[in-house]
Amino acid sequence: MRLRNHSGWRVVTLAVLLVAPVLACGEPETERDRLLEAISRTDRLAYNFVYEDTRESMADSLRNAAGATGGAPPPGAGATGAAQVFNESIVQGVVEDDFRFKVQLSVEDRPTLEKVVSDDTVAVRFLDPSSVSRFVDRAVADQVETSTDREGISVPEALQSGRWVIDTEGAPQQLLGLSADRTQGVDPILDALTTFSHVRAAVDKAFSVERFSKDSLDPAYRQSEDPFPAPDEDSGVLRYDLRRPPLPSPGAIGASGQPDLPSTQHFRKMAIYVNDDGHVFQVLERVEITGSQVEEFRQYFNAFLEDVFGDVPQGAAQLEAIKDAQEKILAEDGEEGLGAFLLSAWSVGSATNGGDPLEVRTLRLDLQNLGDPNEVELPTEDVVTGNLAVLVGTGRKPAQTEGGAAAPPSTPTTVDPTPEVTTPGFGE
Amino acid sequence: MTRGWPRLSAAALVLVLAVLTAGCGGDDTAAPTKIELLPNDLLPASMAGLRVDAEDIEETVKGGKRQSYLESAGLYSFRTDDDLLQATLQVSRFDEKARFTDNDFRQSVLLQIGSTVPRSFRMSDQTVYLSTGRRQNVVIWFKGEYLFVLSTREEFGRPRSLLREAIDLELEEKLT
Repeated sequence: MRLRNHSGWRVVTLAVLLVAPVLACGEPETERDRLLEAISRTDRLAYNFVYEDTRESMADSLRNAAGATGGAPPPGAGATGAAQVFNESIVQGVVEDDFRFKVQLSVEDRPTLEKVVSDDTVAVRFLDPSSVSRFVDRAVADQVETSTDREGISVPEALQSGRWVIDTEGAPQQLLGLSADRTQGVDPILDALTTFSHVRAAVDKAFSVERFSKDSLDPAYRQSEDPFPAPDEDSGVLRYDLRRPPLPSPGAIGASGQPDLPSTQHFRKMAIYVNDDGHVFQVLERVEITGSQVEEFRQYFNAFLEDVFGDVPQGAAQLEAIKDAQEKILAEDGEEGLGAFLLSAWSVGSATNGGDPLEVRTLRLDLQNLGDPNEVELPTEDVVTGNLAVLVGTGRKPAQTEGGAAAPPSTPTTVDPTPEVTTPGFGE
Repeated sequence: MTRGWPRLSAAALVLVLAVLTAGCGGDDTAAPTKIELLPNDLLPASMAGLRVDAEDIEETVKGGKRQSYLESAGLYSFRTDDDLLQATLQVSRFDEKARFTDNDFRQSVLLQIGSTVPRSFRMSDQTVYLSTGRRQNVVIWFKGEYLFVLSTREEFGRPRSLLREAIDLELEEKLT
């Protein structure tokens, strides 16, 4: 074995190099920083993309959880009232910038609709007219003007005929005001276009960001539990993994005084691939329990249920039934099946008791032609003009329009710490 | 054409004060900065179908009692045919002391405008930062030595078209 005599010097040199930027700009150089910088670099480019999202619906979770326990729903299970999600969606698109893009959505392998956005204008065409009703925004459908510039043709009729419908002020507003950690799956197009926001939110919730190395002694995901491909050697590709935070202790109370319970970030595996130009070209995500985490979470899960069932009549019997079901699943479907069951049961339990359901899903985003100029153009042939607010995620909803419920205030708003400072009074 | 309007003047003050405190290491004892007014005809007469007017901010600008990183500023309003205000654009030119290409400097400016933490977006090759005020959207961007703040009424239907026209403005010819 050859010893490196100057290893101590190298360490000192490295330490100086690491400290110098910290002193210079106050920003630590961590893998997390490098990943976020790569995302920011990529976010500024035009690109083409393919986004695939396969997820377990709440109905699937209920079936999985209840089926395994002999038909008995998990504790607290019931109607959730959750918004409808798309379980298998593929979005292919061309992005010129954040305000100009063209996408095609396929649902369950079936091309469903096309959407083109150019600044304030949006155009929509259904490739599968039978699916129009699935996209109707029922909260406002009966309040929206549906006439078009073609006499006798309404917006729903035009959409069902497969025509392009253009709304000159209907570009989705959500892109600008959305919350980074909003529920995904309800609007796959919006999800696809804001994947980097989702990744940033996942980074914030991760325990740490690790650069993948096959030689790492402490990888984010053990080799047997790592579902993501390693970059080819000498390819210059870097893979960044999000390390999951450890499970909270059973009965733990969080900083807010509420129970500290496992949520999506505790089960998320995410790998972000960066090419040798420093741009992200692929994002892979799986929310799952595999390998050693199955037994770890099983222990947590059963300890949690023991607490829940402690005061419930027949609770002990129900708990035993659930534990028996776990053994049965383990015997029949193995560790992977048990992990899926536990995740489904936890998701349903969380959602039906006022928490957020887990985002049990796999996501894949592939980016191509990074930095190549794209020009998105609105359709011009066989188009009708109308108000697309009747569709989810499109158009200006009644409260947003002139004279609507959200009429501007007549008083100015203070937006600066300096007391006398105001912004223009749009109510004037 | 110049219009007087106290609230729009106050809007300009937002910008001036925001830039006053941007960055670090300023000299609190220095004399107030004299900020020049940008030309009234800096912008086209019409943008995105809206009439453009220069607003009178002379009193506000000259009343500043603190040091500023601004060399000049102008405030322009956008109105529909019925004279309803739909948007304002504040154009400011940094002075030579301002580190306007420095990210920390920019962030400190951004954090003082709007009521939410600005989020960045890309329009053409320009990074823009979106924040919100009460019932209005605020977009901020840096272009060369200029700082732009576009505020649009929440109900205005063509904010992005107006933004794109504003981003494409070439001001240098009128200012040299």
